Amino acid sequence: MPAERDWNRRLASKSILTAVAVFLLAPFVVVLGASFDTAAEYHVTFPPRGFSLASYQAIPLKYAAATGISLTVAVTVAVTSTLIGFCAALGLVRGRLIGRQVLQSFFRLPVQIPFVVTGAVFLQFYYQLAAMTGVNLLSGLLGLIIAHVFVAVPYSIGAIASVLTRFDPTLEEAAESLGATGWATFREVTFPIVRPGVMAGMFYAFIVSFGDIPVALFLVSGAQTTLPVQIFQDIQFDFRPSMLAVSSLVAVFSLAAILGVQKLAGFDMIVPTRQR
Amino acid sequence: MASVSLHNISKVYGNTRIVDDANLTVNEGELVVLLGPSGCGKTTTLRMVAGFVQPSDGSILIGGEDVTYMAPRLRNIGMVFQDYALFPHMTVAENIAFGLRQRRVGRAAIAARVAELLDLIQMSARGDSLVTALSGGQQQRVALARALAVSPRVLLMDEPFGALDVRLREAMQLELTQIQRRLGITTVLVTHDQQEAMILADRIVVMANGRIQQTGTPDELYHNPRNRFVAEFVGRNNVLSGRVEETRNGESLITLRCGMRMLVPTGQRIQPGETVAVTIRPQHLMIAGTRTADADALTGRMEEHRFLGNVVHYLVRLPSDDVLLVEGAAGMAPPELGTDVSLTWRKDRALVFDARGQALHGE
Amino acid sequence: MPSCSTHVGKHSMASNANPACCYRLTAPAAGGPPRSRRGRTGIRWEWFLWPSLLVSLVLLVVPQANFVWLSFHGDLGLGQVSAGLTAENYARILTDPFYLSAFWLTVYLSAMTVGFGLMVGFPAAYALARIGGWTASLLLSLILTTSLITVVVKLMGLNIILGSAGLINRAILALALTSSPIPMLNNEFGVFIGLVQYTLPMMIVLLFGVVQTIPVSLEEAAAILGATRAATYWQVILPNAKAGLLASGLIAFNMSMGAFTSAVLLGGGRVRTVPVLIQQAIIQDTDYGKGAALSTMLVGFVFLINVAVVAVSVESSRKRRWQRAG
Repeated sequence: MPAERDWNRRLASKSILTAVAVFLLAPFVVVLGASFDTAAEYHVTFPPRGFSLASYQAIPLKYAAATGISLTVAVTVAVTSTLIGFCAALGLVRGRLIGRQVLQSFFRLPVQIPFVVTGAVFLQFYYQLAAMTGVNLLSGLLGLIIAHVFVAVPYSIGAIASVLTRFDPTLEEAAESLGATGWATFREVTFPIVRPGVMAGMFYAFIVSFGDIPVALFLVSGAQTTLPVQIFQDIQFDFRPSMLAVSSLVAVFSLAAILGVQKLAGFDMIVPTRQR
Repeated sequence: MASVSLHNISKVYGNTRIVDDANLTVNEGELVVLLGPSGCGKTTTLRMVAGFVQPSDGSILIGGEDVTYMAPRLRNIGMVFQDYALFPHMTVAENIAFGLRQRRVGRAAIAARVAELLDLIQMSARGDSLVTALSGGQQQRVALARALAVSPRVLLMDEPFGALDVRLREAMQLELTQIQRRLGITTVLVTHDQQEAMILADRIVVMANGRIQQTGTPDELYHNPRNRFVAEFVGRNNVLSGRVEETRNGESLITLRCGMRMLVPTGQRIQPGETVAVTIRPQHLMIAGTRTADADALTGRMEEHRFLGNVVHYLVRLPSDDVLLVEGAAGMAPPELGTDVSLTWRKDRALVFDARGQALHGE
Repeated sequence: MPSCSTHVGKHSMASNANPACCYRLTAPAAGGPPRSRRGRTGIRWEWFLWPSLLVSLVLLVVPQANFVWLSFHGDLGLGQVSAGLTAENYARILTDPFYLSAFWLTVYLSAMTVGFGLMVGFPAAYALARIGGWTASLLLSLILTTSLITVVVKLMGLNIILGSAGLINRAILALALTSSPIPMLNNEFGVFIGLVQYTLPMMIVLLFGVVQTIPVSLEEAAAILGATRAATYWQVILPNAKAGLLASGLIAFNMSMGAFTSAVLLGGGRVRTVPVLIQQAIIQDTDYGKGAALSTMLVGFVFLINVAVVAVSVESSRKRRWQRAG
């Protein structure tokens, strides 16, 4: 009962929490604020000296193209990795397996490999593939999609497996006893209940793909880059205030997407709060 | 040892009064049980004494000292939690020593005291075991020893025996009583099990909806409940509702729902026409062989027998569909199921409560 | 990036190693036979694994094997590799102080990040867990969000804050604490800050879960027994969080060892951690052999450290238990 937590409310660690929150949120606040600055040229400052939407109006078109590419890749990756992840989760959670732990560790491996290495590995792999079979995965987005799926599947598996383990199997038995076919049971009993986990898995896969830089850096050609890679390169070589605007937009939309998914999938899916 | 007194203690959260104007004095060396159903405020009251909940109103005194706003660790009390709250990363001995270490007691003195307590709970051989390796009953005893190690002036216990099975529970209850009497430590214990309360308490405080319903010895509560809630909560009881027909010489003729009538003592307060509730304990109802005069007996149909070893329980259904529980000695031939039976009762044992639930007897 | 598994870390300790989960050992024996999760009768769920397994195998094993194989080839310049196998890449890396110092730098930065992150992140996670309710959920959500938004945004903001004309330096100069701005960018400190920004949210989320497994009643018991808050923190809470701290620390360490973007954007090209060197080798120098060798060594090295740390901790906890058994 909330009334009984009075005693544990006044904590010194709360000030550390506040400091941490400020520390983590500050960069975003700064970028957002600076994007509205009037006079910012090469000298970006915060707090802004005035208010104007100039940097937003000056966003060059290439960012729109890059955004389109990022979205295409991310959505494809999300759907694909969810499908693969769902199958894997079903097998892991419900299958009669001897080496379940080993398999679980195996599926978690892609996350343990640094993204840089993954990028380099796939780059080499595609070179070899092109040399041996003539199939060139480096032009176009397919190569990037495949590499992202590789990295994203563990996240999907994790999210889906966690709802599957909590799913009560007797529900399916009840449906079966009432005459439902396998597909009907899945459609009307299993899937609606595990849907939040599936959505969370899709969400994570999307985020991983959309926000990735190291892998995309290796696998995109000059004409087509993803949005984060474009920003990454422009920060180093061609900084302009309009990039603040682009970044702010990305941040705001990401936040909206996260809140949206939380609404749909429930908060517990995104952040493991109540564990009891 | 110290006394504990609560003066006009209330706890309000939002719109609910979790505890409403509680007044209580626990004398030195006494074991008082806070008894009531879930949500009655008994645990909140205990935690206010411990200091984990701030009262919205009123004051708490321990040993005459006002501790209402004092931090828990300064109150010099001991507490046994519902889930024992043993430190899982420490051994039995380390758990028991914890409070002493906070008080900077010397190593030799700690060792001696720990040994003393291990002896008290009869676990001298398990001092170096990790608490996670112990059974439920053993963990419970360690929790008790840990609380007692610092020689607190008051011991608080929050449903300590809830997780134990029946046999173990009875053994632990006995052990607790013996230890408590030997040390003479003032104890406040919270439980929802009225049988446990009857066994352990010097006095019981019955609570419902945040208010104290009645405080008294087990005997007083059982034989002289001051309101209907206490009458029904403490021990098994039958309740019949009816209306007063006429009163005469402190007795009233009451017409029950089923149409039958009872003559019961009701004191001076009651008027004809008022609704009342009559309670009779199962052991005070008797199955009479023949039908006797009206208003001295109830008739109903024998519905069920339950053989419990030392006694037999009969369920008798009245025409109004009320079911009465009658307790009789084993060994008598019980009337057959489905037959009509006649029940009489000891007149002085029928207790009457007015429409508000207040006792009319003993006025 | 959020961890994909519900266990804390790939080295999820057997549940017995987390004492908080079995502090109340009442016999669960009366539960009956273990319930199968299998649901519908007759379906062999294992078969669902095959497609995923196949895909994962192909995507994991083949490219990795190819890559490792590549690391054993010498560089012939302009992206060409030698025909025969040679260990010269590895030899060069292991004998060149440049590369050795790069490895040391990466480990050093990662260790600092983890140490600082645990020191700061655990109290924050603890406060969050004890505050509870929707405020905690909101804050946790915000914190997690900072790690889900693409990292360049954060790094851009850090550039503005940490620069010589940035917020912090302007404040310091205004308060006349020093006479010249403190360089916080394009050096190791900048990268350190970037790594902390990268790993801290994940650590807090994980540690939040860890603290939640520690019942409040333990703290209350300690308080009743006379412990101050500080004593409770050090003697009760931290010991029970040890396994979780270790697992979270390892995850953060792994993340930091592989971090690329922070090192580049905040290090100004001067902070040469191994990930940076890998990218340089592959993209700029097109020395694929060296790049592959560096990558293999990095992954192997991280794996070894993980194994070593877990082994040491398991050994020490087993020793402790053995000393106290019976």
